[in-house]
Amino acid sequence: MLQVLFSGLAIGAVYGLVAMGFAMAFYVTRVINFAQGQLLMASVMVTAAVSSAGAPAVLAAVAGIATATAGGVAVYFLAVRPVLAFDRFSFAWLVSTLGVAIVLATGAAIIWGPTSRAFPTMLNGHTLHIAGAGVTVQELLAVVVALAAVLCFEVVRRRTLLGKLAMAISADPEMASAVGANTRTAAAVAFGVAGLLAGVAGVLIGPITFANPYLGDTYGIAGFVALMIGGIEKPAAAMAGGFILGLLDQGANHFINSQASDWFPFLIVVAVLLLAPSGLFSSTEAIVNLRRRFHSALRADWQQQA
Amino acid sequence: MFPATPRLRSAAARRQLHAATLLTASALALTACAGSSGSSGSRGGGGGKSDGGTILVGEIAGTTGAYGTTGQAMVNAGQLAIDDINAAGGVLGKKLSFQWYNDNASATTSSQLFRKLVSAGAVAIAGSGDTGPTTAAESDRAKIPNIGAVDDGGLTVYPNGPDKPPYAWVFDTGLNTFAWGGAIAKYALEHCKGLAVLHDPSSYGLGGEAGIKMVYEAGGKKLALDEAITENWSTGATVGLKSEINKIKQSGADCVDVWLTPQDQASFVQEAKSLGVKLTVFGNDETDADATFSDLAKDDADGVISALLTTEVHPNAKLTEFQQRYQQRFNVASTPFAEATYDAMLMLRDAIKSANSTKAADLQKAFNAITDFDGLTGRLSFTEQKHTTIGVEQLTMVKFNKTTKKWEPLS
Repeated sequence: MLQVLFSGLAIGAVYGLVAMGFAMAFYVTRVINFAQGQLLMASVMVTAAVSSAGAPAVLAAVAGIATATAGGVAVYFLAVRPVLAFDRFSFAWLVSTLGVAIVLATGAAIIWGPTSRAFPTMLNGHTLHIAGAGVTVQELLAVVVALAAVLCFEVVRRRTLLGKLAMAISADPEMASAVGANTRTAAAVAFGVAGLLAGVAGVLIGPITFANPYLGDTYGIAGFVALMIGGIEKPAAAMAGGFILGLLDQGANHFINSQASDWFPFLIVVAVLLLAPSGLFSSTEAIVNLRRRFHSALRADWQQQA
Repeated sequence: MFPATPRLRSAAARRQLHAATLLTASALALTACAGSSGSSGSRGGGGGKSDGGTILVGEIAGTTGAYGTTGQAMVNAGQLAIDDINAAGGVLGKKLSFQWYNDNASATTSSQLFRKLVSAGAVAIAGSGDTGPTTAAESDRAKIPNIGAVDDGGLTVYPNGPDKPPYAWVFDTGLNTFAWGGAIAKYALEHCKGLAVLHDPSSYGLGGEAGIKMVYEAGGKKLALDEAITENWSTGATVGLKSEINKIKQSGADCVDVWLTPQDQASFVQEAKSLGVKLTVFGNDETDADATFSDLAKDDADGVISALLTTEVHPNAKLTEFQQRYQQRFNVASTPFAEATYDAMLMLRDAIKSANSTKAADLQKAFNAITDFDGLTGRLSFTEQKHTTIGVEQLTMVKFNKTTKKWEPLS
């Protein structure tokens, strides 16, 4: 049980970081960057390549994260801004960000080959044993980093001018622009931070998955599912979705059967989308609505019995 | 970022849109380009169809994905064999042409490619290592020989079980899951108190499981744990093996056969070490087929046991010469999958010669009659009931030594 909790939270933290990146870009620009998973992959591949060239693991990780961050900004300027500039209300970004995802995965396969490469062990070699369950320092770090990311985001959002600017742009971009907000810079920063989160997630998961050019699809989809569970409107909610997805993944494998993680989390997503279409944590309203539905169902049941 | 729409319907905005369109187009072009390195492979120098001048041989292999190195080795060897046959004058006075495609481990793609090759007039199709169940079924439908490494033999060739008839049109020279499972089970019967098996749920994993059970249960023992895990075949990586390792520990098994991708096998030995769980870990035919597993697992690969073709452990002059030529030409070491594919192509040449025909029905008869073909992977035979060439008796148990970084024979 404890092992499920540890493993679920650790992988959930990675899903959550990817989901938070999705939400971060959406929060400011109302665009979902479908190349988010490929930014994670870029971080993993660059870290592995720099490390295999003989650089220390920390330096390699910094290079990987920097690549993903720069990649995030590049996605905005190359694939999002041009299509929004032509028609702000079109969904052309859907195709253009998917295009970037294909370019990144294929490019990585051409540069590094299609098969897996070794990734530095980092802190995955150090394990703590707690009540019969094992958790690596790398996994603990993943959870700590995920929580720190949420904390940082909330502090910036609530206490800084940049955060308030992002909120203003998110609520009404034209108005924010009219009063002098630099919407272009804010959007580029949002995409850069999204890339940073994906890059960090890549460095955290790399020792387990190794470096493979097609990792982006796996983590992009998992991150998107986490986003749907938690809610797209708030990056912190997306992180919560990640933790839930991680726990569902591991719990399903442990308590149902070893293949249940293939379908069980998606069942939950369908249920969430039916009961709380905006996600479980996108607003307190969703939870209140769920409670209200639950109570009214109970009341109807009592009345029937009476 | 959010300029008003009317104002931005300007030349500048159009330029930006064109840039984005260019990006999307280049994405598609890049994908097509990457695919072509594995998929447009008309490399045999022939015109394609089995017309008056050439005889077309096709190959489908997953040159990307979890088993990408295996697929590439099969393509390399196919090309090498066709070139060797043509250099020696071809068959029946005709040169062979070669077309290969990357199925990207997709059954749908594989099915489409198989039909494409059949339409192009291929007399036989080699592979696929990744989507063997699809190519085997397609060969049965089209009634055309499917040769070489078709998945990894086992249940892919004998879909109704090892004691039932095989697919009539599949002639598998690749590594055989029944043989590997049987060899590992035989070793486990003698050296383990309890054996657990983790396998993927595809015909590959189920073939390994069937091979293990066949021998292990005949030895009077039952598996301590038998679990299927869905793997990610694009990356080979499945997160979350700690829970499985704890289950194995609780089952009382001291040995486990991790019948998963080399990536997951590497992850398994790392996770087991991090949990402090000591198990004798067995692999499968892919574990030691190339360096993927040992490169990823590094020192944690030490002590992992698998089986290897005896011809690989004690190579004869013919195999050594092939391995040197392969290394020189492709700048990468040969693998058993390459050698099995090379054997298949030469067996096809012999079948065409002995049938004096390229008609599918004639080739089927000729393949069924091949006896003691002197191949790189041993002396190979087919009969109407036996459509895999590799058996337990052709294998030697090996163990990875981290000091020498080699698979060394156990006895």
